[in-house]
Amino acid sequence: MALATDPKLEKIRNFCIIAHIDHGKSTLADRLLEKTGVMAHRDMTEQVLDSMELERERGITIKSKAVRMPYTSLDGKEYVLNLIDTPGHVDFTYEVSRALAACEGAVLVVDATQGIEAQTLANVYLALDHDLEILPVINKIDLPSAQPEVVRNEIEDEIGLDTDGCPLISAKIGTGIEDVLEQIVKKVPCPEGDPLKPLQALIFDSYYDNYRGAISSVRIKEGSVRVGDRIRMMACGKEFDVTECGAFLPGGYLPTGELRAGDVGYIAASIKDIADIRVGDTITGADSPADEPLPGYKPVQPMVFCGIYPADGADYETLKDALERLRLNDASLHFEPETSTALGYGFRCGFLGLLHMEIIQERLEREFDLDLVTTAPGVVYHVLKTDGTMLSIDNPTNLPSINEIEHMEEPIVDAHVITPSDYTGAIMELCQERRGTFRDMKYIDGGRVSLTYDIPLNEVIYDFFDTLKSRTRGYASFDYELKGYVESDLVKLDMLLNGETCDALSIIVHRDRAYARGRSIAEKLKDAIPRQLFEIPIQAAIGGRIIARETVKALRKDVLAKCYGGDITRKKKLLEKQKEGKKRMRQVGSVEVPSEAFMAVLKMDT
Amino acid sequence: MTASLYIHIPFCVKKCAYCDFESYPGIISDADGYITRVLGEALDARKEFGITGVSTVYIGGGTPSLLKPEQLKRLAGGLFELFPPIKDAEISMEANPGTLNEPLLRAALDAGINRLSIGVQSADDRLLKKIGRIHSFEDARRSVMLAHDVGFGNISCDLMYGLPGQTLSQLEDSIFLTTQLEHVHISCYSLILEENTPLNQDAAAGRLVLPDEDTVCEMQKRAIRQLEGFGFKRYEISNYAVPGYECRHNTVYWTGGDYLGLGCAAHSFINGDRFSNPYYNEYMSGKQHVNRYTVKAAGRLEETLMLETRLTRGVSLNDIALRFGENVKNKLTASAGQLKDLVEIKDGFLKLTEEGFMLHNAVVYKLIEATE
Repeated sequence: MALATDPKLEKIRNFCIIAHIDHGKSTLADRLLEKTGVMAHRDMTEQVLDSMELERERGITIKSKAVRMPYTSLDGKEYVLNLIDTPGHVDFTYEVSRALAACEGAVLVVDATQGIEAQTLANVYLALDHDLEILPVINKIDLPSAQPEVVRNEIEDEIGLDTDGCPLISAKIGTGIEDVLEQIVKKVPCPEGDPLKPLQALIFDSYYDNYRGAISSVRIKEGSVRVGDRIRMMACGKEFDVTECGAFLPGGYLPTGELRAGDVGYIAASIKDIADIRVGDTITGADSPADEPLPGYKPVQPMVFCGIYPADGADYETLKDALERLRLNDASLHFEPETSTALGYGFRCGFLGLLHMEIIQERLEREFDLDLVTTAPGVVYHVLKTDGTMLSIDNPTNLPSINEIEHMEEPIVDAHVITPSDYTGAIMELCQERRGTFRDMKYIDGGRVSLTYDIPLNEVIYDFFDTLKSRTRGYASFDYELKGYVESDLVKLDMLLNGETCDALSIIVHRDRAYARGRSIAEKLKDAIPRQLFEIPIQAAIGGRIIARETVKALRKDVLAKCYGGDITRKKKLLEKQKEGKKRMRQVGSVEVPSEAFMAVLKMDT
Repeated sequence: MTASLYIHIPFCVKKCAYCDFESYPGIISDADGYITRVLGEALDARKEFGITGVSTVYIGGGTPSLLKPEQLKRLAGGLFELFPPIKDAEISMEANPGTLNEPLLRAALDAGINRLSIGVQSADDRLLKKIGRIHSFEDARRSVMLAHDVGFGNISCDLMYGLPGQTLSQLEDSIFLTTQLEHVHISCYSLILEENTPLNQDAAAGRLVLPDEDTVCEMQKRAIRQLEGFGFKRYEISNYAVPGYECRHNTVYWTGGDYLGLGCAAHSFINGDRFSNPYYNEYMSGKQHVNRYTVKAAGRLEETLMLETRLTRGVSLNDIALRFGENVKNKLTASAGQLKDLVEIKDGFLKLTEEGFMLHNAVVYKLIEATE
């Protein structure tokens, strides 16, 4: 244990819990809160820290959160434990990495029935990058199919962690929780830092509070901060006066007036715009600033883009307000207004990944009661033009004409899949279908295989994960990180309705995949577009060349035979229904396209 | 003022498989009480609306011909005392061939009824059985003859097409055999599958097969040709008549005239107000004239376009200009140009073509949209 400059530091433990999804991270957090008396059992809902409805429903953590727990160890000493809950999903890797930078230790939860999964490894590597002390914990030992010994071997062999004294627990029924707390106290190093040095506070999360303004979740690395201090955000240079600071309670705040080196807590400073608080940035004192910021800050770059439009054009302002509200709590959400000939006014939105995109869409629909039309998700392509300049394109509509393009590049990810070896063939086939390049294959204990592929990101964002799950009956786990850009033979695939290009349906796709995609989209559109007064040809085209065609036949019969006894209500209802339906229709040339049609084409049926 | 009168008789022997109208088998024993209730409503209505005479009357159902002669007399006698028919008034009654008999027909004639609408539906007995009718074609033929002999000169026959398993030639046979009966008017309806009917459930479950859309369209086309060949001219989507015998009562619905509906589930349109009566039990407990609203200008235009375009003569553009403005007339004229093959303008009338009638709902929607 390192020697602390401040005697108080010896009693602080800052740690996080890392795990593959569903291995029991949030349940363990619940038990720790309960055991340390922060939450009484009767006040517990499941997954206390996942306060968002969506987080609970999906069983995932979207936002990083911290909570302070007092703990008296078995030898009678009193400690302060700061648990920092982190999102588990690959989309939020950067946020996880910042949260890890705020800790000295990580509790690694591994499911005794599943063993190590792709995100287990990804999270372990992240933790090792931050020099964290990793405490493996084997969870779900109450299940009949638990194999703690097999999993223990996996942890030793694959990760190289010492599993001597590794707690065997069941977070669900509460066995072994004290063991975990004792190990945290014994094995996680106490924080270091000098409260007298200039302030360096790492921002690992930000969110918006209606009364306090934008709030930073911080770990004080050096120095201290008090209410009334003037602080400076080192990356953006803006300055604010601290109005409140303190520790976190579950779902609330404990103002303490001061945070010192080693502490984890929050700082409020009447900050109106959450964009001023950038995760990874360093807060310092404006009067005696630190020489340099803490290492590792990088602005978050969205990886996946799509257009989001209101299904009813009249809801544009509501959508705008909703996006602004969501951005208050999610600095990684990017959006800017765009217009589409087919869809009217909407927004080009950038996300960290597909899950992030789905979450934002779902929150817009649920929390703001919006009906949305989203266009096909895309990535950022690099277009090298014949004049030597380079364009970054996140919307197919903005692609320059073919004769201006020298070549194009697309982002490639380093994809890791862990699977029972029975499914190796199925996964290799999937990766090949998605233009993957094989990199590595390793056998893991327990009849499992770890596969590494380079796959273009634009292949990953089309239901790769769903397909992977269905082809392996849910057994395979998956993780990826951006590797770089490579040259690729990409084309713009346009869809024509009755001879007119529908901009909202254009996608950029690899030439080899264009035929299949074009055919599949045309078929989907045929089913999604209702018959109209005239025949509608649906065509897929590359440049001017038609590669696929379907036809929506003209409507034949649509008439009420009888208008009985002067009862016109039926006829009226029909008219109202038509009017209602019309609101959800978009006009593409002479063709009426239902909002759903734009969504139907997003689903691939491979 | 004069108005039209509709009286709903909610009794029948047995529900037809396609029927979702307000009609119940097994409660004909309540008919006396029901007639009393209808006459009570008629008395209220006369006070409220100041109707002094009626130009057309339609007793529909259900099966009005299920009433006993004296019940029919009491009903018609009571009504016409309150609402005297004007000279040459058209007074119709619906009749099911399975229930018609000479005493009832004589009573009807005595009560002032001068037009019968007889539900023939098909000349194919197997089809009749399939859709739950209680009579054979022979019953229908005899009913028409009997009505004619008793003294009814204005008789209409109902036919249906698009029935389960029905073929084009079966329809042609039905039309031919029906035209050979003594009458001047034929209604030829395309079967509509209504929710919560046995026919709909059977179709949904695949227990019966309906003719496909193309066949049904072909049936419509052939029916028009065949009926016109026998002198029945199409004057509305589903109605054909020897010229001069078009149903005046139904034309009131399509042209925005005033009508008062008496009896359960009956609908009214009087002095610009629409309202209706509740279903049987509520109606019997005294409730009436609910869901009342005044049709506003935009609604009047919508209704005009949606109803009057059902007629083959179409809607008068001058009339549109007078009632809704020159602007609306111009918009409609422009829209008709875009809907060529479906809509035509001839002699100042905007009318749907034969193809247009097939797509009546969609075309009307386009026209309404054009006026907005």
